[in-house]
Amino acid sequence: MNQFLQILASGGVLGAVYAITALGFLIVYNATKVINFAHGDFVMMGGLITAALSSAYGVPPLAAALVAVAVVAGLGVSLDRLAIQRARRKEHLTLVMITIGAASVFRGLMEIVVGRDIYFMDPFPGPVRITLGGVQIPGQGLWVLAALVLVAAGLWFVFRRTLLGKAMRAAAGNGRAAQLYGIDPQLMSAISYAMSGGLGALAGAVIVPLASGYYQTGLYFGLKGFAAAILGGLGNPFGAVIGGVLIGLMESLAAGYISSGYKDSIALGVLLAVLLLRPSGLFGSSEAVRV
Amino acid sequence: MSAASPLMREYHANLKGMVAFAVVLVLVGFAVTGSYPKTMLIFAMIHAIAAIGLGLLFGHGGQISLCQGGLLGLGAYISADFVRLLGLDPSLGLIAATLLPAGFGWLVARPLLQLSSHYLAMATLALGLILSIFYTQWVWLTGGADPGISNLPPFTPFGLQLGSTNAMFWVCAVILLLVLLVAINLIHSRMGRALRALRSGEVPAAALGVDTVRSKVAIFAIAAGMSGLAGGLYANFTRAFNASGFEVGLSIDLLIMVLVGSVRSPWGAVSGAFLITILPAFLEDFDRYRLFSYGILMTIIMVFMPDGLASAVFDGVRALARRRRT
Repeated sequence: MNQFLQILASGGVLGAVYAITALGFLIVYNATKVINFAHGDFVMMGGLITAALSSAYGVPPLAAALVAVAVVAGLGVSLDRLAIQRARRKEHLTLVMITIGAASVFRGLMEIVVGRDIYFMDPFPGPVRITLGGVQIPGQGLWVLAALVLVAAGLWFVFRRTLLGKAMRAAAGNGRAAQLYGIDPQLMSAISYAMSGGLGALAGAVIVPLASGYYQTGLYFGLKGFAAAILGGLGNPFGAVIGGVLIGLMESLAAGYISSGYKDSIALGVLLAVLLLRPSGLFGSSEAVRV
Repeated sequence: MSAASPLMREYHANLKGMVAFAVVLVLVGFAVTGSYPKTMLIFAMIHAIAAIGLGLLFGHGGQISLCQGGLLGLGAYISADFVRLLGLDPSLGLIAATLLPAGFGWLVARPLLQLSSHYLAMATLALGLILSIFYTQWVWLTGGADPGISNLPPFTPFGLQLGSTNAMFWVCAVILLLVLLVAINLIHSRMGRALRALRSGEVPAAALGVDTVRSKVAIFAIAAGMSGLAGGLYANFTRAFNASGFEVGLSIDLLIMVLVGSVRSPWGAVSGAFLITILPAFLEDFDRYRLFSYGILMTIIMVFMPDGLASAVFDGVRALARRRRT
């Protein structure tokens, strides 16, 4: 029983990371209807930059995470400005291919700048671990959960209560009409990429002390984050959080009771199953995914 | 259709191109004697076979696939295990390496191809990753990530000694020409025209009587078969490989080969495969900058010339020539 709870706890922490990743997917998807295949690499870069700064240059973890978030948000904006916006009138497949190319660019950039080493780092400040009813949760896990709560509350506030959030929703809903009201859709797109990059980097930064930073990990973060987003019904932030936690729990259970070699295939299997059987996800509106 | 129609002329031009290409391959085969350059040429031809399939799927079918690397691996393992575990003739292994991945492609295509572009990309990416997870986990079939398959006997179909680098060059050249012939005939067949109609719009194509689902499934299966065949050749040539060779990176590389050439013609896939495979050998310390520069290349091509790089250059030259004439 205790082992079961322990597995649930670590799955929940992992799930929180996938949930933040899924929210990042969502912001760009809602604003531009583009699925950003480079999003997983935002997460990878956030973690890798944080870990490299902290372990190689002795930068305090929180400062390193802040730098990582800022850098990746900037890279997100440049992806939008330099590539996506220039091709925004081309067909959808072209935009998808651009983000696949961008994923390779980000991976290669990290390979050149940071190198091919695997970086480990100490946890963020706070208790090393806390024990709750016999279940041990690493202190870093609390940072992860706090980050998810903060991000979810922050996004809710921005999109429901601020003028910027309303402008972004308006531009996403009907770009032409929003433009007539003085909203610049290109600016909204750039802001959504900045937010998405920042969120991805944050997810990477909070999980990296429990995992490791390496330039090849973006693919898995991307697929699992997307699996979470589509499981929750793409476009639905509440669903994305639930989807992320579910994927994390399933993966943790699979690693604990089946085989750790197959744990990555769980999220992939869920992704395929949802796409093929119920593309609107658990909480999605009946959006026409199929053609 | 009369013999003078533009389509027919294009077909004849393609056939003449094939003859020219065969002559070039023969000349190169005799001129290049070193083992290393010949190895690079063999890899280029193997990649070209897979890229032709992907080019048909992407350029003509308008469908993206990010699991071609995984399918190439499927062909490699099938070909190797037919010889290694079943003790069958390598020729049977090669045939199975083509037909079984094609069958697999046919099975998965029906559900997958109902998805629109970005979902299809995600789904095939997931499928490619699932394949590579199985390649590392099913050690009894694949040898896993380490050591993988080693000491596969040399390629001796029907007892012919074709295992040497020199002989494999000719084997790959003949098979590449056959695959090209299939691709060219396919483009100029009823199905090729159906696919062309399909790419410009699924609903109008269906209205004209094109069985859209069947055409898409067929082209996916054919592309999978070509990838598998390339994998079979890869297994028989290297005779030692492991699961790390068939990761998503290979699928992206194949896609870049198609994009560097042209998405509209199998010649684009062939030239892209030769360029992307052979060029890095001339650049020192390229491995470190490979991901970055290929990513930049792919992004630039997609932003400015989504029909492919060589295609855009070709069109540009033709437009210039026309302007000069008038």
